Amino acid sequence: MRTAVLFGPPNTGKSTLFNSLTTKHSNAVNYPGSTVDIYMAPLKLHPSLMLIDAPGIQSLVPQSPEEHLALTTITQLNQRIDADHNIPDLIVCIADITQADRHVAMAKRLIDDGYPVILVLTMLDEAIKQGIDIDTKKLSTALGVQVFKCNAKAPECLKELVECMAQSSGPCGRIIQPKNVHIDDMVTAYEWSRATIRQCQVERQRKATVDLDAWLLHPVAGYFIFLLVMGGLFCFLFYVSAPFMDAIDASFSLLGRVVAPWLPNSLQNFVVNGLLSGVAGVMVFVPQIAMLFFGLGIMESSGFLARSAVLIDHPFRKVGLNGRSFVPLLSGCACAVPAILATRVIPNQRVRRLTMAIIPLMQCSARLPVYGLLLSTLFTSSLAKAMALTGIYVISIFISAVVLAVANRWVPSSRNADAPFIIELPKWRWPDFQGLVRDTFRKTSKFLVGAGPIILGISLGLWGMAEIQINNQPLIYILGHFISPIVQPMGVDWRVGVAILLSFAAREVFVSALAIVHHMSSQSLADSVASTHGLFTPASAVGLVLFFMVAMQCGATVVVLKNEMKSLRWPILILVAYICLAYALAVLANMVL
Amino acid sequence: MKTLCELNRNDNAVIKEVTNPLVYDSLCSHGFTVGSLIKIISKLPFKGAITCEINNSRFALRACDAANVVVFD
Repeated sequence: MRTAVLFGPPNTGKSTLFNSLTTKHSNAVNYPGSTVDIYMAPLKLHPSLMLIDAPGIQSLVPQSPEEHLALTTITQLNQRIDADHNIPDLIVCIADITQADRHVAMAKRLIDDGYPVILVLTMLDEAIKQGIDIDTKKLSTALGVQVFKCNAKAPECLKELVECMAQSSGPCGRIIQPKNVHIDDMVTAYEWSRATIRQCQVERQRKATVDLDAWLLHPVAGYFIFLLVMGGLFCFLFYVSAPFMDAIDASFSLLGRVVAPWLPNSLQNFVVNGLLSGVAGVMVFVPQIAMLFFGLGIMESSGFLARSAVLIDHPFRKVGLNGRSFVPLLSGCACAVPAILATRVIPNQRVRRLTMAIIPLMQCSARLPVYGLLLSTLFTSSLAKAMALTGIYVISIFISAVVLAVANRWVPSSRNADAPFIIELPKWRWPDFQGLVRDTFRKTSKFLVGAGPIILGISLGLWGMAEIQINNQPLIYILGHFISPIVQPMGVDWRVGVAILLSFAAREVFVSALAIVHHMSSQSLADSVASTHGLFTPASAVGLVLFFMVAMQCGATVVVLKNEMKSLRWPILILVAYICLAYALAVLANMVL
Repeated sequence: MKTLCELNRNDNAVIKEVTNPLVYDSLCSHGFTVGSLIKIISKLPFKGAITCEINNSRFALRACDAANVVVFD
């Protein structure tokens, strides 16, 4: 199969173009370094051509892991995918038209080296605002390749581009061994590009715009706005999602009442009080999780995240991180797995390792159902619950700082410790709300599809364990009493112990497992547990909150950490250290409170 | 001659050289090449990041890295 690679600097619209040209979805947001892996899919209009979306690269001299990955897609393609050649059949160089004097340099360098290239100029809307236009015919003559101006959302533009890609791509026989590019070669290309673009540029009328950076990066107002936005995100999370959560809760209660009479007695308890209430325990938090994805999406697509990284760099440096760690850590509030992959944009290996090590301490969306249940046993008013949940995020930041202070002594210095902190600030954009809603739906569905089978599987497993008898005792009871001495110092009994053990598959399983173990709905669990069953005392509930804040339960996180750290030693060390710390905190809370 | 971190907000300058070879590649990759016109957009307090505009792109870099960029003002 013939291959074409979308190649170019970060945040030039490669992923947006990839999504428009193929049926696959690559993450397209407004900050540099959103794509950290390669994605591929055949073209919609020309399925015999495979299109590859590579991470952004600033120059042909790579500085970070994801830039190395991007470079290998044009120099060692058959190491990455099952391709016929090392070199792709076509390189579609993407350049932001408003920054063409720097971005076209990469295309120039590749053309000079003999690669088959076509150049696509993007960000046309931004160019209109800035009064910038480029004569593509002149630029095409200067470069000796075809040049397009393309709006990824305009079908006629895409059709013309695909036709050109189909005609231009052919086996590249010109390069046998790609040569290494030195930074001075790039500097020469920049000089050529700057002079050429000056000749090809057409001046148009510039639209008046407000420079938001003057406020957002202001020495005082910048930090104030940053805190206001972050606080606003969490308020948005709690208050906007509350009516939706109540509606889901009521729907599941109604479903349970409707379904119960139709089921045989043997299944009724399991389905209504176990399975349905377990699923409801997780489903009820879906609006909050969706709001989190939506809020983060607004920050990503507007350009706010990159500014936040700049503001936060100085305090982060005090604990051994840098501003580039901010985006992965914030993504960790949604899910640790993509957040760990997002650390590829950090060139300094030491900072990257430290960032990966504390991502599991960020409070991911899967923990929300657990906190929801535990906080219900501690507080009755929704304001108190919201304050407590905000407190959890604040305490987790404090714990992360302490862990970093300790880890700074352990993690060895890296070869590229002197890599400078330099981050490109994307242009401010209005979020595309239609796209944001679509993305939020996709991510929330992915969460549900991922959690659903685990909850169902564990529910069935638990039911089976309750049915299987050994020496006239249910298997679950035997397992529970085996765990009991371990969890007793935390102030909880074997039933909670079983739920904790099962939550190592995925954190949200804790709620459904607990519901099944107790054969009651998760809502009534929250209401009745504190008063009648004595399952949680206030001290043990606080202890469990601390346990879930710190313990790294998710198996997927461990696997991704192992892959990214290229070692099993560090993930195991982190896993054991966090579980021990979490256990110690839970026991301490139970003893002190 | 000054370094980039000695410039004030809204100052314009032209890059003369990047003195530290350890950061040269990275800065050049981002377009901090000799002869480029540079404008300071903001400076964060306590030797925080400096935001500058160069060739119509905006970058933020640490004051310690900016100290390696010598400019004509």
